[in-house]
Amino acid sequence: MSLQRRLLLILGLSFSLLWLLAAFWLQRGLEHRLQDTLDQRLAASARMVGGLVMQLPPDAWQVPGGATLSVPADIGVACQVRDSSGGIFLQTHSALPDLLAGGGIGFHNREIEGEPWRVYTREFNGLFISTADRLTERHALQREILLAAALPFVIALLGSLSALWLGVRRGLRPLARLYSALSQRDPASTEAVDIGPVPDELAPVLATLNRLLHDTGDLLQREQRFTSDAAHELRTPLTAIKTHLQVARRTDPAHADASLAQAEAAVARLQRTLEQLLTLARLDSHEDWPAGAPLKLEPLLRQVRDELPERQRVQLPDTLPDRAPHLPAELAAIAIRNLIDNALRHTTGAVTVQATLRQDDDLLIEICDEGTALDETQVSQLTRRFWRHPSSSGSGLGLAITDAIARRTGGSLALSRRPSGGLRATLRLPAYPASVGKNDRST
Amino acid sequence: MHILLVEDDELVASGIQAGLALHDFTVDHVRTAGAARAALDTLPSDAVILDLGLPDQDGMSLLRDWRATGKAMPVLVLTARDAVPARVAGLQAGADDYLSKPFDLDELVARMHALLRRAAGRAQPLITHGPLRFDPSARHLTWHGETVNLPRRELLLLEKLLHSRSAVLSAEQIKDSLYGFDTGVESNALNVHIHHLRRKLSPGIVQTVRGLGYRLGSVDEL
Repeated sequence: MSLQRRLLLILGLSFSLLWLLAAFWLQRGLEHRLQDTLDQRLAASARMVGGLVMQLPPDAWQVPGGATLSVPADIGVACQVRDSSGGIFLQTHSALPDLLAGGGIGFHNREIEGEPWRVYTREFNGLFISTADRLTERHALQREILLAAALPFVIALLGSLSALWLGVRRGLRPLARLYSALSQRDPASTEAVDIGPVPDELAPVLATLNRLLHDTGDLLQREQRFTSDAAHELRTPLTAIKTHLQVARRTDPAHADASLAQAEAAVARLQRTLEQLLTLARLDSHEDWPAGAPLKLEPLLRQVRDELPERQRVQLPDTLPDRAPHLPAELAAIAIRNLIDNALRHTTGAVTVQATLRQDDDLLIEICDEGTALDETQVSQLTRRFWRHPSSSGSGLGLAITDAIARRTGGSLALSRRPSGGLRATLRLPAYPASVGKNDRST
Repeated sequence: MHILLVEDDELVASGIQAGLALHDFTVDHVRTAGAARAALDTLPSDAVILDLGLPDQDGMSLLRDWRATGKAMPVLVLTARDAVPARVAGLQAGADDYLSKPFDLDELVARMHALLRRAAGRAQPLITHGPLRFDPSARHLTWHGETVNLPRRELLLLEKLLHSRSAVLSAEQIKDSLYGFDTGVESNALNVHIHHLRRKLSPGIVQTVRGLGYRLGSVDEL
């Protein structure tokens, strides 16, 4: 059930119930008061008639023949005066039979000639004075009073119900706008939801929703770009392999060799890309890496340098901090190798490596080259997966892997342009305490 | 036929180049969009094979630029990204055909022939000219119903003339399409090929237009 309908139902029902109860109470009260008031009127009329009759000389009643003094009948109070023997001296409604027949002193309800009456009888010195009201008249009066009281009541009830309906609708209008905006949009869309001005209560909801949508959109876009880039990086060498193999089969053996060599080069590239992708996937999955023995920075750097094809261009410093990076030696080696490898790719000159230990026990490893000048946008893209400089032949994953390793171990990778051209890569890695780690690589 | 190959990956490009050369295409390879623009302005390319992932400019926008400036040569787009929207966008940008990497060499060749045939306004894969019938993809030529085996260059020359129909081709244009732009050619080599063609088929097969160049001889002179 919609919020609006629920609110309207709850408020509307309780409103109506309360008003009905109040109306019932009012009606009961009015009925009582009216009854009492009319009864008092009967009693007062009887007292007044009694008083008047007492003023008359006693012989005024002793008329021979028992002629009855009659007053023209009227609607309203009927009155009758009689003595103890039953002779009627005075009555307002001549047509009425004996009002006292079967009745006693006090108030009674009686049926006289098919009509219900309220009768009051009282005794004054042997005379019985009865006053009576038609109940139908009383009821008619009661109905009129109730009607007069109920009409404003009903109007007020209807008015407050419509005010309630309008108010709830108006108050919930932003919610209704949000509902229609959400139900009309493409479920796959990551566009921000805009429903115009929103009340304070809804603003954080909408802000959170839009931030989430924005983040999801970014994530989706990154994911799509990654998939597309991966497809590109895997298919391109595959295309080279396939084409060269097909050429090799169609051509004479002398030419076939050249094609096969090219196919082999493409296989090597495909293999490198696949291995790097697998490394990234393992890093992303936060899978545990075999820890291995911690290796201090110096043997680690020497090992990395010795595995590179152009090791003579890598300049290691004379002294290095006597500490081991606090991560599996294999990962530390990959992270540093990728940085040096990247530097070697972009310069024909020397690549200098420096390392220092910071106050907070983090190792700073700095790798500088004098390679291709990059602009700011390019520098900001360097750690994006599969991004590579247009002139580069790399896979575009090396720096992304180093970045992922640094993040995984609580370190960081910062890349910046050097004033003299080229790139400075600063890798910060947490270090083991000085006592941990080997100083050689005989593992 | 002269193909301009725009592809930044060296290994892929050398494969395509070698593969197309096996089918008597002359392939000029460039790596960047910039080089592709220059090449298209200077070389008589019959068709373009365009990779979308170029280092300096997106292949799609290069293609759009070409179409906007009225360049109408057939273009086959190659891409390693396979989303259908990219395919649709490629065709909308003015590509005549689309091939995803990795592709089959035979398919690439067949599509190139189909593109060239459609560009020349022919619906049939066979080119007929009087008693001459030529199947470009099979490299098969018959003259009065009999198979004629021509050397590669002579067949290329004949193919160029057949594709150009009655248009006059300059000697330079013909040389470019026979040898590509990176081979030194002796000055009278073309004359020798023309002489051979006339001798093997009919003297009227190549018509000399004085001061302008050559064109395919009309059917009634064969």
